[in-house]
Amino acid sequence: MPSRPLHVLWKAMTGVRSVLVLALACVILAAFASLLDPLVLRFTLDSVLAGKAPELPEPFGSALSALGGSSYLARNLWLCAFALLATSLVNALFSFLKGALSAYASERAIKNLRDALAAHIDSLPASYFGSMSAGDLVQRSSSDMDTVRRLLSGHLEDMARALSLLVLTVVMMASIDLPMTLISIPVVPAVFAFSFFFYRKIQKAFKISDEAEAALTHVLEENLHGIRVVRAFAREDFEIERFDQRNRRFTGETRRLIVLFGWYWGISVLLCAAQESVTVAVGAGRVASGLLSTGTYLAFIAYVGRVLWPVRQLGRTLTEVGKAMVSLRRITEVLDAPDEYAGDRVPRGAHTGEPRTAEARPRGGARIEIKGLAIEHERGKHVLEGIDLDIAAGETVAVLGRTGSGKSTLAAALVRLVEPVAGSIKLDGVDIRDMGRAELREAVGLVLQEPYLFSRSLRENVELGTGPLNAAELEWAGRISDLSPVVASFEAGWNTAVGEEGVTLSGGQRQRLALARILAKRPRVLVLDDTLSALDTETDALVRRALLGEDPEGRPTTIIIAHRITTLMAADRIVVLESGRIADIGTHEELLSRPGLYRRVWDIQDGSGATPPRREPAGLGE
Amino acid sequence: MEEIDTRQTLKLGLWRELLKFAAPYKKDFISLCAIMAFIAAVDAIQPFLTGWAVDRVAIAGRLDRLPLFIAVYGTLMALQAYAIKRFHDFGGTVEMGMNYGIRAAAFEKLQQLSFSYYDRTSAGWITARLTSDVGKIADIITWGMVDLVWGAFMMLLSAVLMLLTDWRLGLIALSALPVLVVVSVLFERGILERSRVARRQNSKLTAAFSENIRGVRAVKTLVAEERQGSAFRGLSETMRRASVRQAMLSAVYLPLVVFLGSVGTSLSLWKGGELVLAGGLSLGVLSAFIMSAGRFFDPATDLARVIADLQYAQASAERVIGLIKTESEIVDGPTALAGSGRRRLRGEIEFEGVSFSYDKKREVLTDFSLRVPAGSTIALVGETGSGKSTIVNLACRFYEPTKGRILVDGADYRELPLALLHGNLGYVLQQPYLFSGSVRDNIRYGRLDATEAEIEAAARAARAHDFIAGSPGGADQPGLPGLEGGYAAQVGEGGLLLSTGQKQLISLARAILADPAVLVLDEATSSVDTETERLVQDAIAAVLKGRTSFVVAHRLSTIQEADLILVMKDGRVVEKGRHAELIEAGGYYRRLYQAQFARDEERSLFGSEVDEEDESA
Repeated sequence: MPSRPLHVLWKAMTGVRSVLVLALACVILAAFASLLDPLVLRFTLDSVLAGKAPELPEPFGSALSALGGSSYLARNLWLCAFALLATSLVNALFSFLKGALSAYASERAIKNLRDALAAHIDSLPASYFGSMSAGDLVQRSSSDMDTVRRLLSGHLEDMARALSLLVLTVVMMASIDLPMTLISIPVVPAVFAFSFFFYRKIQKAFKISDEAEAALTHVLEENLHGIRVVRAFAREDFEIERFDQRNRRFTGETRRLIVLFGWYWGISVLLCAAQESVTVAVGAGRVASGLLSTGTYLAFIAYVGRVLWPVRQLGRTLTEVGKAMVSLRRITEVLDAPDEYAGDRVPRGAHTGEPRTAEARPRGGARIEIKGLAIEHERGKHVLEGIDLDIAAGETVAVLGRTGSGKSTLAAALVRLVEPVAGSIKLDGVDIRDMGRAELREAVGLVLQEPYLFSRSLRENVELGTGPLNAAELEWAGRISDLSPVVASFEAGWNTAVGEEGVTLSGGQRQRLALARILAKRPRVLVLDDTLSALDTETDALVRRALLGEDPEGRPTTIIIAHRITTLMAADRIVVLESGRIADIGTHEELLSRPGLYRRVWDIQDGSGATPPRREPAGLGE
Repeated sequence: MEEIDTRQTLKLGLWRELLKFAAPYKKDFISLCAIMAFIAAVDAIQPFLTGWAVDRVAIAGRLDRLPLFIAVYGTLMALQAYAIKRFHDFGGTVEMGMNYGIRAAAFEKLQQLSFSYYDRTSAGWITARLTSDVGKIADIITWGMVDLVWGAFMMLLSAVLMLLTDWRLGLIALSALPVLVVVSVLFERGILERSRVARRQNSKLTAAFSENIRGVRAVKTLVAEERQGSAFRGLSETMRRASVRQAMLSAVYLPLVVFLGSVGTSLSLWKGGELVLAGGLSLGVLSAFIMSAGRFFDPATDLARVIADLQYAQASAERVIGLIKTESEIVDGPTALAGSGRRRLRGEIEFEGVSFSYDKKREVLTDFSLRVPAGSTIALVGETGSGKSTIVNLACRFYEPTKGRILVDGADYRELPLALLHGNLGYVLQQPYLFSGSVRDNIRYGRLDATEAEIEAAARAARAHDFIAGSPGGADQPGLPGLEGGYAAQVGEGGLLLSTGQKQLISLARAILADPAVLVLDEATSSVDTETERLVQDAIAAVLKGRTSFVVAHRLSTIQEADLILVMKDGRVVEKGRHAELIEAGGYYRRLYQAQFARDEERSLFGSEVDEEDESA
């Protein structure tokens, strides 16, 4: 059931709803206080300076009579000035409260929404990220999120302020002089309608300008990335011409937008000025005819300006609210996508017995039984079919196959990154669907072919799957994966930052780091999806020897996907996959004794295992 | 990254440099300032006009003066509305004119800068300079000026009018000004600083989202959801605090300004009221004073904001002007201009004792000499970083030797126009770069005036025609469906709609169409299937024929057929000769060759090295 965007927002506001309500109350109170100063002026002008009988609400009325009426005020005029200052102080106070409260509430609500989105993204099935581009998702979580943030921290209170100013001003005007009120508001609906329709219309112009800018940036980026091609073909003038067109178009469209705004402000100033002129002129006439006091007249001149301002803002605010709703919907769509736990037999986080900490878990390899496994990426198109494979605890099995034979899919299925359409996988006799996903993935460590590293330190990358490690554990993982020499080669050692802000690691170094961080988890099954491919032969052998030699009882069951014969032949058994099926299975000697893919590979790679060393970075290679 | 000292002084020279870009719009700029002065004048006069109406029409009971008042007031307001419309026109012209001009100048400079600049500077950095920085500069110069002129005139005229009407009362009404100015400048600065902190935090948060999304499989296999989640919550909490800190400052600032402004109004009411009671002031003038004092402080906050923005924009201005003023390290010498720009070179190239260093410290090539006869193929082999691409870059004059010289057709190439060499050059990259557009556009990039027939001929020569237009297939070869739209098919951003092999063939076709005298080919080894691999080899053979070529070679076939193989190691040529000779010698080359031979065979067996099922798994 898709949730409604507003419901998502409401949930994010948990804990701060009352603060937000309080902030809105402050908006109204501040608006009210900001409308009091014309009343103070009116009273001062009429009752103190012009000597009219004072009309004051109780208890101010009796207090004033006790002091000696308006003549007392005439002698102490600072009291009126002080009253004026006091209204402004009250206004300032509530404005501050409104600002502080709404900042607190909106930032907290947005934090909640951000956290919820980040957590949900991590729990979405791996297949979701194939159907949705990463760029789109990043945009939803950054710029769309920011648009929603502005709704909460700005537009909502803008709207409340505009509406309360509008209503309160009209009420205030009506309470002091009805005929003048009727004269002072007829243009208001026109200004509102004009502003509303203008902002709706201008969306299109905004979009055109944005698109023109995107096109400009696009040409620029292409030029920068292809600068060698540009130079090599001496196409500088052609590029300048191409860029010039986009540059002209963007600045032209944006200028058009500014001109449109000129029309908007020009016309709305004209409308407002017309309203003000009518109020000033009619008021002057009524004062001259004795129908209106000077103070009331001046109060109306002040009010008419204040009633027009919020109305002009309202059109704009409403458009912004519309945009924010679109963004909120885009965020809701992601939150609505079912996570990978949906439909699981075992609820998320549940555990079937094994303790969670690495030290307390049983060590040693686990037995794997794969029965009739079939997987399809598209309906009816099998990537794997009828896979039956029994792997003993502690055994090392190598997998060989061409591109598209289903090797990586098999690896992914072992940790439920993909789900089978038929068949089952059992780990020590337990169907992996009857285990918690976290439990399964703690037990089975998959090292991906193209590992993703996080731009933090080497140590933090390794600790990502385990939490803080002590020096011995870190050293162990580094040694087995042969990452230690890499670490030692950096000045900052384990604290060397990786990626954007740090060093760029070579393919082989990346693979070793990825291996180290899985090893640190001490998995019972280790799956290497072509993980050693970028290592040279010696390092590859070193790593494999270290893996096998280490602690015979603690040795994990190991599945190695590889192309290299020296890697394959060291395994207990070798599985040859062809077109999603097991084509052959056996030991090195067995496979060598019959024709097939394995023997062809063996022939090419010279059989003796004396494949020439491939140091990385590969000399004649990638 | 954007650490700027907000207390730095205004660098006038820098802004003068930028104002040059406003020169073509001088008239618009002056009109803009004049209009703002006019608008400010009307805004300043308005309260006194209303005051006049209160005294001379309303209180005096002179209804006969009402039409006059309406006429004057109405006319002024109509002019005001028109002025507001017009200042947008002029402002738009100036802002977008500068926006256009600065960006165009920067882009033109970018087309001249040598590759050493691109080595030091990331494309992302340059893009940000040409988009957001340029926008910021044009914005602050135009609309900052609008606010400045309006604010200054408005305050000046209001002050003058108040002081002229009653200088004592005027002084009292203006008394809060100094406090307000100090408060505003301090707060604007603080807000700017805090918002910069928040922005930086925000980009960290976006980066965290991006990592979570792109690295989701790693997170899952490591069971790191909870650790990632708590790290993220830590970041978003820091972000929240930074945003609240910034918002708090704004929450204090604006109400404070409103309050300080009302001090002037209150004082006017107090002292002005006493004057009214004493008979020294009319009610209308008093109300004009109060209205005027209320408006007087509005521009103060605008002015403070402009000053703060200006300091902020100065950092942008420095970066952009820095880019525009960067000297290209490779320019035509004085004698070069005399030479003819577009003739065909024979393509004989000679290195004479060439040394080179990228950073002027460590030499990556030392005393290298080589004569390349026109039409021969030189293959460069060796490890990454051994100096292969340095030789190529020098031959192309993407860099110039730090010592020694390079002769093209017998003349030092520094004495030839740059355009002559580049006009005779073809360059095919390992990662073929295509521009978004059609297949045809991309091939035509090799020669802009090529006809359809010539484009097709080049595509055929590069073995690209069949996969573009489709082929019926023959006895020994399956037919190809061709691209949808044939030559008009879009290649997508960076060519992403095509496979790597297809991109390689198109970029070869582009080079064939250009028909350069000198060709540089950075061969690719990556991900093509066996069938395409064979086509690419054929195409390469076709493109190398009859021109001087430098090939950073990975393919056995190319290496075997080269006229000369240079085996590079650590910046020097360790072995040199033809294939057979080098194999015979049994040195480094032989070892490299054996490794490569095995890999070639292996690839033909396995197909692509990149496991495609990975994408969908």
